[in-house]
Amino acid sequence: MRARKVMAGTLSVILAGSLLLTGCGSNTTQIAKEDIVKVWTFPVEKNYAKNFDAVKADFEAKNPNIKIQKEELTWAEGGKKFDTTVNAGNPPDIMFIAPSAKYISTGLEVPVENYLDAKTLADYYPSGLEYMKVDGKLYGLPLYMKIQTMGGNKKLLEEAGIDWKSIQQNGWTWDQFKQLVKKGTKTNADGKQQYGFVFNGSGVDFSELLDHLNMNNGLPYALDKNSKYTYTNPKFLDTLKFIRSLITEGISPKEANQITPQKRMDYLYSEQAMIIFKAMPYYEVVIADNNKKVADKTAPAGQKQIDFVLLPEPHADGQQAAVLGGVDGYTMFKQKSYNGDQEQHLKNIAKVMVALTSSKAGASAVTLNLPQVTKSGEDMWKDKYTMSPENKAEVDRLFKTIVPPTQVNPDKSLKAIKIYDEVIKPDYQALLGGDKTPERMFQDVQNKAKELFGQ
Amino acid sequence: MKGEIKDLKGASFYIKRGLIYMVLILWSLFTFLPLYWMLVSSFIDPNSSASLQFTLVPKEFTLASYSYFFTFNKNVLRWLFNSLLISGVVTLANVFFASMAGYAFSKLRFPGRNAFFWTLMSSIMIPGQVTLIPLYILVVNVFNMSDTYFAIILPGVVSVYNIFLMKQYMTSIPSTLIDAARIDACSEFGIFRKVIFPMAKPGVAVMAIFTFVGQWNDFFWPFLVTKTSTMRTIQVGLSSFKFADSTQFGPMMAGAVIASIPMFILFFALQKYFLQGITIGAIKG
Amino acid sequence: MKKMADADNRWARNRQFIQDYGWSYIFIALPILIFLTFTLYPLLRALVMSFQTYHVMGSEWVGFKNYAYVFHRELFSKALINTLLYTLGTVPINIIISLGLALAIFQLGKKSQTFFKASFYLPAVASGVTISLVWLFIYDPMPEGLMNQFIHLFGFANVNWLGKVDTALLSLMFLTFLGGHGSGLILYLASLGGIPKTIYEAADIDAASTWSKFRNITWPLLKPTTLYMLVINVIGSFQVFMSAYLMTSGGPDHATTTIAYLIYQDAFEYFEFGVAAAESFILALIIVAISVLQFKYMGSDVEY
Repeated sequence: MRARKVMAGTLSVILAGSLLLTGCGSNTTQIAKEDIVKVWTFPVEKNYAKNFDAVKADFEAKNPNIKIQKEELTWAEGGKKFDTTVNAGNPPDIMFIAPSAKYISTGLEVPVENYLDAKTLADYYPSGLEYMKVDGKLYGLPLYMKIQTMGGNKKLLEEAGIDWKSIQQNGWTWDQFKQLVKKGTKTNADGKQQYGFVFNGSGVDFSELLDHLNMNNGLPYALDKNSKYTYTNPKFLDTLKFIRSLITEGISPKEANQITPQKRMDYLYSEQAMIIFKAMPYYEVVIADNNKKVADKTAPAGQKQIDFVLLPEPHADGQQAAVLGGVDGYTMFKQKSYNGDQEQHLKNIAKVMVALTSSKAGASAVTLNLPQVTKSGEDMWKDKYTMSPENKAEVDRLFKTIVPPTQVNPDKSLKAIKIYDEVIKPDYQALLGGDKTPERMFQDVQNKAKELFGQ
Repeated sequence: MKGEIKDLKGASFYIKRGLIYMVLILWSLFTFLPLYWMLVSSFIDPNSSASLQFTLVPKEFTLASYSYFFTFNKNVLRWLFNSLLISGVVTLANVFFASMAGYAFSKLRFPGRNAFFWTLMSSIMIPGQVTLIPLYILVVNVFNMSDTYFAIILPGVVSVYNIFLMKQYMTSIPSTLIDAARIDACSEFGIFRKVIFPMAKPGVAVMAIFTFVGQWNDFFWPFLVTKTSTMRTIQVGLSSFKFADSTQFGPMMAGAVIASIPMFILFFALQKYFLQGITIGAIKG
Repeated sequence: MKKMADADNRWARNRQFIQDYGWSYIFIALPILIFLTFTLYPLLRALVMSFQTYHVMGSEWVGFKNYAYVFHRELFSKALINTLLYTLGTVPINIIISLGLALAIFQLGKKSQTFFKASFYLPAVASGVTISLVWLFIYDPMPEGLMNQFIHLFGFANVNWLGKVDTALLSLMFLTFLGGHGSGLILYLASLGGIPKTIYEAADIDAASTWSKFRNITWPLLKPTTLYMLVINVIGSFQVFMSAYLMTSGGPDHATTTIAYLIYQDAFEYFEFGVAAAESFILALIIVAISVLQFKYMGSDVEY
């Protein structure tokens, strides 16, 4: 009986509470003189929330009629939330995402050039802006430039007799890579299996090695300048064969398609991997953090302090060495139905976007060890970088070999994405697992390309 | 109670019992593994990466992850409150409405009964992925309920799964009891309240737990329809520990442990009902 | 006069109708109302979508094009086969396991019952993500993986469980056998508790064997619960998504692509909501057909 009374009491309190709280919570409509710009972002780097708030405070002080409303998403599910709202016609004004044919096809992604003046735009380096374009139209602004490459454990490289300094400067071919890296596969000092080369074949971007090696084999992008599909070229088959041979020759683990990015790092830390893919300049910071943990004994048993060197990716014989570059940044969206002065709102959005990517916002690039995207950022932050001189020199060298993106027709780009997701990705998993030969996979790609492109 | 037949039990009885215990214990140890791991990982230093390793024996013990969890965001307690409120309301609503509907579908005869029932049933056979966007448009764009408790609660107020569960559970309640009550001039609602509901208590308790746990653990819908930190539920809040490649595992697990406490409490509070064997005589008297 | 009588009659009939059935409709009114708004409306929108190429700024009607595409789509049949295999391989076994566990636990003392109920059910409250992380450790393809360590004891070489076409789906099925029986177990225990002891006592007087008691009393009286378990588990397994999403991304070579995962990809990776909707309605038709059969063979209302 008493229990029932308590239950009833709790229930009424809960119900009353819910009514009260929703009463205050639902007050979303505002008769606003000030324009609210909604920004969705992610924890981009460890200090990003702080950096963002500083930029926001600065901006709002200078533009009292514009308010920035920030929502921080999670990496795991944020994309799906965004996709849902885009397809419901209700996306935020600014999203931390690269422009893509997928979003442009909804009609809600807005080209920004009309809302920016030439002087503002001139502050951005053109190489970075190029990545924010689709079919020649600019849809957003970059926050930092990025490059992805390989990296190695200096000690293990030297043990295997590899002259990493010379490789940094001169690069290497696929054959040279195999010959040298093979020496890294052995039993290590702890009696564990060590591999010459460990790459992530599982996780979000599990097929990135394929893209990078294609790029180093004269196939930088699925679509070339004339929007022609390129993965039906026999060179694609050569790339597949090369990757497969890394596994059959024992250079990489035969469980490659289950190596997550985390596992790849674990192998690096426990000296079970001599060279890892992928690696970014920021890893110098990540690895230094882990070295500290090893010193404090808070790292898992068996982990060692690692001296990390960035390395160029090997290229096919007779092909140019190339690096996959890119940017991360903000793109601009509109809603299906906006109550108010749409044009003025878009102008304000563009202003916010500039503030979120230039000068003061460059702090993020510093944390990530990546170059600035604006001249104003360069001036403000150039003395703040802390990177080992060798790696810094390597980053500068690698930036010179970046292949700029191609500007292609969005419809064709969607088809290329479809081939990639429906055929290349699943087949690639099977290729790594030994369930599919390179020839079979190449055949599958050709068949699908014929179906979609008729070539 | 079992005393009088004890002498009849031979050695084979104890061997059988022993075997049952052994299998059950081994099995439950295994199913307990995720929970155990969650607990062990929650006692690890928030900055340590050791928690990503799977170990049976805990290597460190510190409550730092817990204090980190409670201080990293000023709304942590609010998230817990939100989750309690939302799951509580949804559970009570289901207990009330789903058991009524379950009674109607199992024991009452009325025109359109099967049609209604199968319309409800077929709706749960469509995967949620395709109704997500229309539902979002309805709740956020049409009803303008974004960032309110209503947006989270209303779609879950009565679930077809629960109606079906209650219908199945009430099917085996003897109709003779209902007829007897009718002769005693009970109204239909009176029958439901005085006869059916008490007899269906074990089923209702099970449903209450399932609903509470389901709502408590629901992540994507609350994440989708809320935007301010104060309106988030604990599951949505927990996910914000994920940062780029690395995850702050200790605090996340500490949060998961804290977040499962209400479910544990509810389970132990309601579990006595599952055992309650009801004898017909007891109800009749 | 006649008209009056007619009206009176109709009035009386209506009154009789309300008296007879009014409560029935009141009992189901709110569920139906909520259902109409939050389920049926989105569902109808999705049905419309399945005949369209969905665009947020204005969809195009394409008739049965999406359905035709799905019927000819190799990937859809592959996913359908995967899903069927998964369902056949998991649902019956898991129902038997739940029932077996419930029967075993039910004969124990009260304290033991509580203990086992808690230890089988409570792990389910840990989120699916935590559980899938544990299973990723178990299925770790390297020699240090738990499952591999286990088979090493018997001299087998290590297996790339989730990475090989022939073991990936089986591995996903196997993980359902060892965990996740908590809900079924509790449901069965609640139903077992509802069976009057007097019936068993009567059978004891007739000196019935354990098997005959199970066959003639327990099983028939548990039928409504078993039907529930069957229908719900078949629906769940036809819509299985999380394990493919969290553990294999549908690979390798689509070996673990289930229909629900395919629908997810079509909707959220390619924004082809029309195709995803068409696939969903085909899937729903299949599940409805199976459920109707289940009701037909299991649904006889049992009473004691």
